[in-house]
Amino acid sequence: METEFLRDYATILIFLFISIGLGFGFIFVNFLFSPSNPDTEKLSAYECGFEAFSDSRMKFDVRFYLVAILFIIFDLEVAFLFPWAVTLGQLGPLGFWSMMIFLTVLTIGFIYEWKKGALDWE
Amino acid sequence: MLAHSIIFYFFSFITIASSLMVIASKNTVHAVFFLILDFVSISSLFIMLGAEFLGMLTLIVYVGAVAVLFLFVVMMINVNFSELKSGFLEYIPFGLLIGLVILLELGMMIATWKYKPDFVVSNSIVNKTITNTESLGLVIYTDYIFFFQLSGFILLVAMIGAIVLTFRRKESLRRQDITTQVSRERTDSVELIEVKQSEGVKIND
Amino acid sequence: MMSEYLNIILFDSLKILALLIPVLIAVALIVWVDRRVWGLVQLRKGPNVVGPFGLFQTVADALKYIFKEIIIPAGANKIIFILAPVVTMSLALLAWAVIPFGENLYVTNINVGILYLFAVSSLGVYGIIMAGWASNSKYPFLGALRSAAQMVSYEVSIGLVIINVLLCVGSLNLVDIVIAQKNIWFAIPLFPMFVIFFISALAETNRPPFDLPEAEAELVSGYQTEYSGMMYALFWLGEYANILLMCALGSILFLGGWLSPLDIAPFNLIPSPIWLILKILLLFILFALVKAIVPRYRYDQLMRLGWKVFLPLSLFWVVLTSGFLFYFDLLPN
Repeated sequence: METEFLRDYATILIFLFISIGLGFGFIFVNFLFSPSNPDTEKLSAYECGFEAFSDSRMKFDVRFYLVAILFIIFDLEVAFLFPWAVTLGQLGPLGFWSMMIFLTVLTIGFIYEWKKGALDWE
Repeated sequence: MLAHSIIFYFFSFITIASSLMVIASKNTVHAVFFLILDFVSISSLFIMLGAEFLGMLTLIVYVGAVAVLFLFVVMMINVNFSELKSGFLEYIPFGLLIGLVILLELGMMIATWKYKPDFVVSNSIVNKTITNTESLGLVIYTDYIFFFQLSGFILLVAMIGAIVLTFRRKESLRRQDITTQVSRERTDSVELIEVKQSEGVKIND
Repeated sequence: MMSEYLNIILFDSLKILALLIPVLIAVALIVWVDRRVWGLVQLRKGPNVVGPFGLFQTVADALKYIFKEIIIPAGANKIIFILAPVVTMSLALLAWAVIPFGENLYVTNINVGILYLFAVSSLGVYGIIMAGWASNSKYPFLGALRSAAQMVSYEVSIGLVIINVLLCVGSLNLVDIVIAQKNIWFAIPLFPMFVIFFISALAETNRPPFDLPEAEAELVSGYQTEYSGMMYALFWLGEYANILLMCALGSILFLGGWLSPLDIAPFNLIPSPIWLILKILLLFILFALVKAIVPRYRYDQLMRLGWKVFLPLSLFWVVLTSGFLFYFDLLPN
C-alpha cells in the first residue's frame, strides 16, 4: 500500500520536471531565434516619459501586511475544517459542537475586525 | 527501495542546503525565497513519510500564506544591512541560548523515543486502513478537544493582536458607505419643477 | 532494477505528455474562443484570418513571440526575473496532474487530490510576486502587490466553498467527489456556493472584472510590464491554463465532472472525457462573457466583496450545510 501511494507522487515529481523543462525550453527557443541589440533606454525601468525619480522598491501600505496576517488566520481555520468535513459522519454530536464553538470564537474575532474597520480598504 | 532513497536524499539535500542559504544570503528577499524552497522540500519529505495531509498543509499554510507574509514584510521594511550588522554581536549569546534550549528539547525527545518506547507508541494514531486525513479527523475534534479549542483562542488572540499592533484608522479620509449609496432614492436628490415661461426657478435652500 | 525504473519513468512521461499536449492545444484554442466571444458581444468579427475561422491565430501569435527580442532590464534581478514566468507556467500545468477525465482515466489519483489543487493554486501567487519584485520597476511592483493581496483574499472563500462540497462527499479524492454526484450535481443543492466559486475563480485568476493588477490606465501592464518575447507568452500561457483549470475544478466540484447529465441511452454512450470537456467549455464561455460584459471593479470594492460578503456568506453556508446534514443524518460515512 505504501509503495503504491508513493508511486502516485512519483508521477507528480516527473510531471514537475517535465513542466519546468518545458518552460525553460520555450525560453531557450526564443533565445536562439531572437535578435539582440540592447541599448540603455531599452534596458532602463519603464517610466512614463521621464527619468524615474526614486528607487522602485518603495515602502507600501501596512494594510497589505494586515491582509496577509488575516489570510493566514483564515487559512488555518480552513485547514482545521478539512479533516472535520471528511469525518463528520463518524464524529457524533461532540465533534459537531466542538467545531461550532471553534467557529464562534473565530467569528467573534471577525466581528471585532469588521467593527474596527480593518476590512475597509481606503 | 533504491529510488526511494535517491529521492529522499535529493529532498534532504535541498532542505539542508536551502536552510543554510536562508542564513547565508546577503539579500533578505533571496533568503525568503530559499525559505520557500525549504518549506516545499520539507513537505515532500512529509509526503514520503506517508503523511500526505500534513505535507499538503505545509504547502498551503507555510508556503501559501506564511511565506507571503514574510515576503511582504521583507519587501516593506527594506532592510539596511550595515545597520543590522552593527548589532550582530550583542545578540549572539541570546541566539546561542535559544539554540541550546532547542537542542536539549530535541535530545529529550530522542531519549524518550529510544529508552521509553511505550511513551510515544501509546499516543500513536497511525492507522493503515484509513487515510491519514480521516485518522486525524477522528481524534482532533473529540479526543483532543481541549487543544483544538485552545488553538481557536490562539488564532483569536493573533487576529486581535495583529489589528491592535498594525491598524491605524485614518480619520481624514472620506469613506464609501454602500448602504446609504444604494438606498438613495431618486426623490431625495432630484425634483421636477415646471418652469413657466420667462419666470426663472427659485431654489429654496 | 534499473530498467524497471526507466520503464516507470518512460511510461509516466508518456502519460503526462498525453495530458500536457492536449492541454496546451486547448489553451491555444481557448484564447481564440475568448477573443471570438468578445468580438461577438461587441458586434465585431474577432480573429478570422489565419486558418479556418481564424483557428490558428494563437499559433501565429506564439510563432511571433519566438522571434521577439528578450529584454532583461539592467536593474533587474536576472535569475528571479527569468524564473518567474517558468514558475507561473509550470505551476499552472502541474495542477492538471490530478484532474480525472473518467473513473479510471487520470494521470495520477492521490488521496488528497482537492488539497493538492488548493495548494498548487495557492502557490500561483509566487510567480507574480517574483516577477514584480525582480523587475525592479514601479508599475510591476505595485501590480504584483495588488494581485498578491487579491488572490490571497479570494482564496479563503474558495477554501470554504470546497469545505461545503466535502461535507457532502466525505473524501478528499477527486474521483470520489465526482462519483458522489451520481444522483444530483452539487450545483443544485449548493447553488449559492457555485456562484461564489465562479466569482472567486474570476478574481483568483485575475480575470476581468477583477483584472486590477493590470489595469492599463493605472499600472500599464502590471507585473508583466518589463517582460517581452517568450517570457511574456509564458505568463499568458500560465494565466489561460489556470483559467481552464478553474473551469475544470468548477465542473468537478459542482457540475458532476465526467458524468453525463442524464443516465439514459443517448447521453451515457458519449465517452466521459467529452462530457468534462463540454462542461469546461461551458464554464469558459461564461468566463469570456463576463469579460465582455462587466466593467472593472475598483480595488476597495474588490477587497470589500472578498472579505465582507463572500467570506461571511461561505462560512455561514458551511454551518448551514453541516447543521442540515448532521441534523437529518444525511452525512456520508
